[in-house]
Amino acid sequence: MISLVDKYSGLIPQSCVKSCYSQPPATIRVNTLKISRDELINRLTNKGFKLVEHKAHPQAIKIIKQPFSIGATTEYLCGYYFVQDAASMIPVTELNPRPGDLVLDMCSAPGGKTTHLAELMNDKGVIIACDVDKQRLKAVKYSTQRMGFSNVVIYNINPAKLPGSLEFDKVLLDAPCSAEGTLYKNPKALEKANYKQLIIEQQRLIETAIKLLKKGGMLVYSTCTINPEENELIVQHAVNQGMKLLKLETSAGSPGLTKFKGKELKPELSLTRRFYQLTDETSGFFVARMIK
Amino acid sequence: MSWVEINKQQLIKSLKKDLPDIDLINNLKGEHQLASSSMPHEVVSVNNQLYKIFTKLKKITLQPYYLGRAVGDTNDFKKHRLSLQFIEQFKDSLPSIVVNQKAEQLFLYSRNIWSDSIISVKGEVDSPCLTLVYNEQGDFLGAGFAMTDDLTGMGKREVIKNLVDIGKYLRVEREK
Repeated sequence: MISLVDKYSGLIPQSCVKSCYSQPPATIRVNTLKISRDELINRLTNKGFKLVEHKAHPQAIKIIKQPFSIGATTEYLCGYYFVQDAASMIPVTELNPRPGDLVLDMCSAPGGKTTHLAELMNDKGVIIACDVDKQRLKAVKYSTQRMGFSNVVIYNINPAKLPGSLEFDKVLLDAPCSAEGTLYKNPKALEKANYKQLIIEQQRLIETAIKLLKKGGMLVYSTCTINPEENELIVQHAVNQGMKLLKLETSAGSPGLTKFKGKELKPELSLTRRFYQLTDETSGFFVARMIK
Repeated sequence: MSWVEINKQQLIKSLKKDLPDIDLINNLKGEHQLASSSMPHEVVSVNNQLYKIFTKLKKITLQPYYLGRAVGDTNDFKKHRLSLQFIEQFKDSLPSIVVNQKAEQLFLYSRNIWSDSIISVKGEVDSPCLTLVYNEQGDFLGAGFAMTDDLTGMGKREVIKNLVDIGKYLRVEREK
């Protein structure tokens, strides 16, 4: 079987590809509707946790030392934070949801991004959170309750079933992917990944996202893979359908690829961002921001 | 699973059994209350904007898995087991206690509260009444029913029966 390093030889720096096999530091995101960042840091520090800023995202707190599981503190149960990779926070802040918005979270489980959206919306407006995996929706439901949000409605459906008349202000598509960026979790994921099927699904999903978005609405597309066929090429597919790429607000990450397999891609794809454990201390990740 | 709108007045009447002194009319004002078809029925409260989406999608036979703010669950709509999310709103209106660290840990494992672990009591306890439980840092841990009016006197004994606690979130995560 071909290794990931060989697969992306000459395209992505080897050291970046290799870092997909290394676990990034554990990170948490503070629920600022319940507690201030400083107070949470103080309280966890008093319990023996060692915490520092994370360079990839201003809301992320990196955990250097865990005397016990960060998911088993009273503060966690109180909904003061969510355990989440720093890269996963980027799509939500890039989408910039506002109170009162109608937002679609197309693949919402396990709910990290959904609760982040709700927090940034100050629990106002509506988030429609969809996922086809009913078992995983349980986590979305209880995360929403634990963190104290009430503006979420969860559907166990493929979002393609939603009517176009809803006209969302913003859509977040954190697409199902080959998970090449999180190989530290499951090194055998590559063997299981059905790339052809995933790419078809991603194309369908982004087409649905465009259909459901109102004119002038914002779409953020993200994955936890470093595969250009699941990233830049899917975004190029959206651009071909009239979506306009926007520069991301974050200064973390590196520009998206504009060449693949000897072919030139649309130059504006450099506005997308790629993230690696080596350079950003996150899982391998990809984010693009577009407007309809 | 499907969700249907329920009668607000009947819900308030039922909730009043556990929350006699709470202004439930005001709390649920401007919102719609829905119940799930599952057993026990989950009861939620949703704002107008969310309700409009719910009704629009219901027309094309799309029913949510979950929505809004949890009120509680019930088998018969006569008696409700209140949710953490709902109870927490009434921190200024219900009697409450602060417990020590050992009792905090035990309470989060669904255990009852003993009199000798109570550091302070706020508000008037009129047993059997809903009583909120906090730790020394002021975190809401859950709620229980006071089994006596005098929570700290008369020696060591169980005084608060655990109704619901935030340890629930860890227990449901482990069920996955």
